Amino acid sequence: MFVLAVLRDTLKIVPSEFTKSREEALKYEINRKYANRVLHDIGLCMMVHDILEIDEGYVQHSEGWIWVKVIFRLIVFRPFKDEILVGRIRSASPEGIQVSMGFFDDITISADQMPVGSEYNGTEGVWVWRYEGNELFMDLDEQVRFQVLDSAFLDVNPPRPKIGDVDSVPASHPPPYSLICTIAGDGLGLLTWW
Amino acid sequence: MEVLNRQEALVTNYEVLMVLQEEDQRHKKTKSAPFVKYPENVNTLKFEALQYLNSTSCATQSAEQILALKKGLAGFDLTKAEVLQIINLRPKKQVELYLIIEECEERFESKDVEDILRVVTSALPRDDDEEEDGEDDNMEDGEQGEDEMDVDNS
Repeated sequence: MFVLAVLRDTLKIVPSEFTKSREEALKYEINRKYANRVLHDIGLCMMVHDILEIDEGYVQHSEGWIWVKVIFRLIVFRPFKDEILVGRIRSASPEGIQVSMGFFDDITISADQMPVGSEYNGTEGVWVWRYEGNELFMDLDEQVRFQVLDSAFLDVNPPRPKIGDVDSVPASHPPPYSLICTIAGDGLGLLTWW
Repeated sequence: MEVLNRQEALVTNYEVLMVLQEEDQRHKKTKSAPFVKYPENVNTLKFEALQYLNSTSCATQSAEQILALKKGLAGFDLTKAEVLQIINLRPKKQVELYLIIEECEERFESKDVEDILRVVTSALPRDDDEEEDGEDDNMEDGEQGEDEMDVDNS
């Protein structure tokens, strides 16, 4: 589920951070810059794991802070293909269900990746798996075990309002990183089924 | 920013939990200082990830337990990714193990599968084991007999 990625960056330490040790100040700055952000082709950045190299740093003319070149290892959420994960059902629609892992929400299980014999129940607003005469409801907020089929990175630029329509701000942006998953198979689906 | 290595290593959920808890401690220590602003994104991620990980089996694990488990699994021909998932998911039933291990039926005898499960439960003990097993007994098992995967309640 999580991997370590090695990154190099030039970070600044502002004077208010000078009281901390260099390492503490850098960890703070790395987390501030990377935590909860998606890096293209890397994944969702969690926290800095450790710092491998710190150079001595330099102060530029007319600036009051230090620039430091640093090599560090970052914990990244990037499940591999076929990995088994557990999350909770966030929403359901005829197209499929959305699963959340708390810190990561863009997990899609489309209608064709449901167990065979499943259908969307419009009145209840949930998916139902009909299995040997039993109706197994996939209620919202239930824990679900799923398998990663594929992941998609989308290079999203910052949203810019188009010239002419000032009012219409796009309601939802496409997620920069999303997982395409399945629950069709033995052992997959709600934890209570197995 | 420059990416030097996209994937240097796989880390277990337990290790991530340790890093998050360490950060949480650091945060609590600095909370008393009124001028220190804690970044919103770090706070959100820390809160949500801690909440998720604490709800999984890694909350009760320790480094010694994971080492013992790795030693116990060394005799079986498992890949790194499979061992990692066994640590993270702590499978208790055969059907879970079949999911984690690729082509499990061809690679392992059912006796081996049982042995792996036994290693997992003994290396990573959890208090709620018996409680959950009790629930399973009461549950109507509509899928019984299918795929010859007996639900293991041992």
